[in-house]
Amino acid sequence: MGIIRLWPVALAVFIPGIILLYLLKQKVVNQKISALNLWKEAYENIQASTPWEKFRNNILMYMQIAALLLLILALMSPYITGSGSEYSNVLIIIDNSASMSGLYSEDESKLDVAKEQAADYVNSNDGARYTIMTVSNTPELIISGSDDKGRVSDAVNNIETTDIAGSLDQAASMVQSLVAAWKSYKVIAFTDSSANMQNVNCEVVDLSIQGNNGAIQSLSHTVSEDGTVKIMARVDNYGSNSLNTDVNLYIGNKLYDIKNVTVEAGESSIVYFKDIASGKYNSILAGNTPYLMAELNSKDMLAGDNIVYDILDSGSENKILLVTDKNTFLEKALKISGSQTIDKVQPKDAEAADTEEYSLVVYDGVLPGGLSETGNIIFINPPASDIKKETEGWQNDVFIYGKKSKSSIIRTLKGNVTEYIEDYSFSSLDVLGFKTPKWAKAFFETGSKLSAGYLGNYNGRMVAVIGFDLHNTDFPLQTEFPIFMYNLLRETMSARIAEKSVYNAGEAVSIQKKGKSEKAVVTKPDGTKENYSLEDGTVVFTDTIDAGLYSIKEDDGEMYFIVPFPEEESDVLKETVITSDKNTKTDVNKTLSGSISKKMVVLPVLALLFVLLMAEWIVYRKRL
Amino acid sequence: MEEKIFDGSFFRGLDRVKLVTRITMQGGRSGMRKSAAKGSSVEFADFREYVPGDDIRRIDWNTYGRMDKLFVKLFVEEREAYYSVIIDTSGSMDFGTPGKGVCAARLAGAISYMALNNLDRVRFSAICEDKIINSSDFTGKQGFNKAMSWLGNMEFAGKTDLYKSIRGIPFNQKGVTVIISDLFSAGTTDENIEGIADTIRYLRYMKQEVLVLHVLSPEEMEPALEGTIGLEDLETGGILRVTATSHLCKQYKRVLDRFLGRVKECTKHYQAHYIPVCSNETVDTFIYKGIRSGQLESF
Repeated sequence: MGIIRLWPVALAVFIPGIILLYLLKQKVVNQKISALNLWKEAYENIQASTPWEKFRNNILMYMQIAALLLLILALMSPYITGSGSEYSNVLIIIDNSASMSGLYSEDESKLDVAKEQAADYVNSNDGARYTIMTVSNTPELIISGSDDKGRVSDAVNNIETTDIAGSLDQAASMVQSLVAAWKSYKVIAFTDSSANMQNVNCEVVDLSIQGNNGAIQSLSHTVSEDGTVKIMARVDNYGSNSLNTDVNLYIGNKLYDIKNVTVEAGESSIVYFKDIASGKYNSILAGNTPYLMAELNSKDMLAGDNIVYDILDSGSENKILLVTDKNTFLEKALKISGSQTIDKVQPKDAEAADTEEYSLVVYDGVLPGGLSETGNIIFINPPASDIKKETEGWQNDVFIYGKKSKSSIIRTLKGNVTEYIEDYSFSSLDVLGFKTPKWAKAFFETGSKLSAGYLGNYNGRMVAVIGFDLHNTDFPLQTEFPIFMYNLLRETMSARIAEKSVYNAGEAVSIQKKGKSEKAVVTKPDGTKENYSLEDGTVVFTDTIDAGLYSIKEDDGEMYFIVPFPEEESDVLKETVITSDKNTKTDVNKTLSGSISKKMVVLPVLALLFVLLMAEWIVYRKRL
Repeated sequence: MEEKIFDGSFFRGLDRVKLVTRITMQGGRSGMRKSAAKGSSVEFADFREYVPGDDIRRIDWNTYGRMDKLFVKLFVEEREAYYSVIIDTSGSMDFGTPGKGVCAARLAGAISYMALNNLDRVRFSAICEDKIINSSDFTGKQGFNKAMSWLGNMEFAGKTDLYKSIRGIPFNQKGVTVIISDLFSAGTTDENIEGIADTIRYLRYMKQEVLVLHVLSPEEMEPALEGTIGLEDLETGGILRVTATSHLCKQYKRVLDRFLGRVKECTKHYQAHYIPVCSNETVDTFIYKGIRSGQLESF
């Protein structure tokens, strides 16, 4: 025999109350009689004035306590089971990707149903060790090999939905390696999408359900030549019926436009909203809420894909100033950045140039007299004579001279700048070796273990240093060079608080220090805020499992980014597909194989309670 | 006593009945009861030979004609009966609606009325606390008013050991002793029954015909208690806290019935007469019960 719920036990606190009611001395009224003799004989227990006398003799109290106990038992949903689990290890996999947040019934999501079934299974099977795994885009072990059913149930109940795209297929290899170590096992997977557990005995509980689902995606805007802004969005109908709905467009929190759209089943429709006038657009950009939100008015199975955001930005170009004598390689390479404007000046004119208006200044073979207030900088082959000078100020922070080599093999170090070109090396003449400053991270290393290239956030700007002349090496001729330059420009020009304005759910966001900001506050779609210290220049925010609008606020600036609901998770008509012979598909409403069939005994308990109450009433009436 | 004990209807039934005694009177003044003595009455008793000095008016001349000897006719001497009415005036008798005390006074009045009507002698003894208040002897019809007055002045209070106190009453001649009481005394039921038995034995020893009038109130016979109550003894002041339920009342009834049965058995065993009386019964009911038990007869 087992129980489903434990909380009704708390109602047992009323039992002392019942006893107390019977023990409380009732107000006694004295009544005169001629003689006590006969009464004494009739009432043999002359100690009736003591509370326990009444307690001992009052059958009504016992009946009422028994009735309360039966009520508690009924509320605990008792059931009768047969024997224990036939498996020594049970692996329960729960898909918590975005589609699982869709409704399975009127008030339960697919994930709720999965959690409930999993917890029921755990509670009704004894003698097994449970491993619980969630899968969205990556598998995650929640509990590993625990026979503590309470802990396992709690862990199952604490699983939360994400807005991450994924399916159980991502967990296949991990599951295979897990079950390989077990002699006897059972794998139960709860999902609404495909599940192919090759070579694994897996029972897949199918949570896919047909229904209506409209999704709004791809909200975008374009600024035309006259400054007006055109806005459009795509509405997809993933349901089996025609969809007719209003689409609301908000600028920030204010409703701006409503369009009606009809989309046939399985089709898409583009919605064009009212243009935003040029002047108004600029005021929106200057305001606190520079983003658009479009929303479907209709309710459907999946609420997460009914809202879409679009960040408005100035579209200002990243201007680059190249201070060089002549460096064609570099000039060509800088165009990789996609920047529309690359200004080139001679070193002698560098002082006169207004570096403030450029987002990146590249000094090739020269050093400026002083650093501008803003803007990112790349120093290439800084003059050794200048660096060696004992100077005060920024040069001491940026360059820590090590050693100059006539020639050296330069090896790439793992990092963002050397992404895709790890373990690459090349030779160069006249290489300046530096000690890496505290604020920077090296990406080139000389043969003498000094840094020939480093990058970091220096006083709220990105500063990169390369200690050799590109003309003295064949590196620009290699295929790795454009990759390197792309990475370098991406990293140095990412002086924005976050690199992108759109991230996939679950993707990490690197938050950069802007200016002299000391902390960053991230506001998540549900309104909760998280504080991060920017002491080290960069922090990584990983809690992007929910789709929606995020904001990052630093002392010197604020930025929004959005996490869209994954399109592939919106398709509710997609059925759970099993391709492996070893996998079986089970309807969610059926008892899982291997789980002990539970016979609920609530009704008999309630019947017993009713009989007891009737008996109590009869006894009460007789006593009157 | 504030309640009016006697009214016109009280006497109507009593005029038609008289008390019956089974003992032969000895001593006392002449009355209406048979006695062992020979004297002048209309009831023939015996013959004996004439001796000088006899009243020659009592010589039976017819016998002399047949036998040629002088015989004198002897007649039964009729004497008065002596009724000693003992009334329990303890606090417990002041209970019930109507009160047992009133009922006891009425019964005593009825007894005295019938006795005085029959030219008998009546004496009341009120047993109160440790004292015995004896009235003077009432005789004749004029004595009845005095008896009523005496009864009207009775007070029911305090506790009494009836059985012990009875031994303080002087019984100088054969007679009838009527005990009017609820027979509740301190101690257990067994002790109570023992006391009744001792008392009757004592009275029988004192050559008394004993009539026990056991008075109970309706509340005692059919108690209707409910809830948790403290039962307070009118005599001792003792309190018994009980949770009164129908079950308890039934149990009490069983105990009471057993007690009444034992009293009846005890009185019968010692040849006393026993009449249970409920305080709400009328005199007619009492007469009916008296006739049925043979203690009263109508004429």
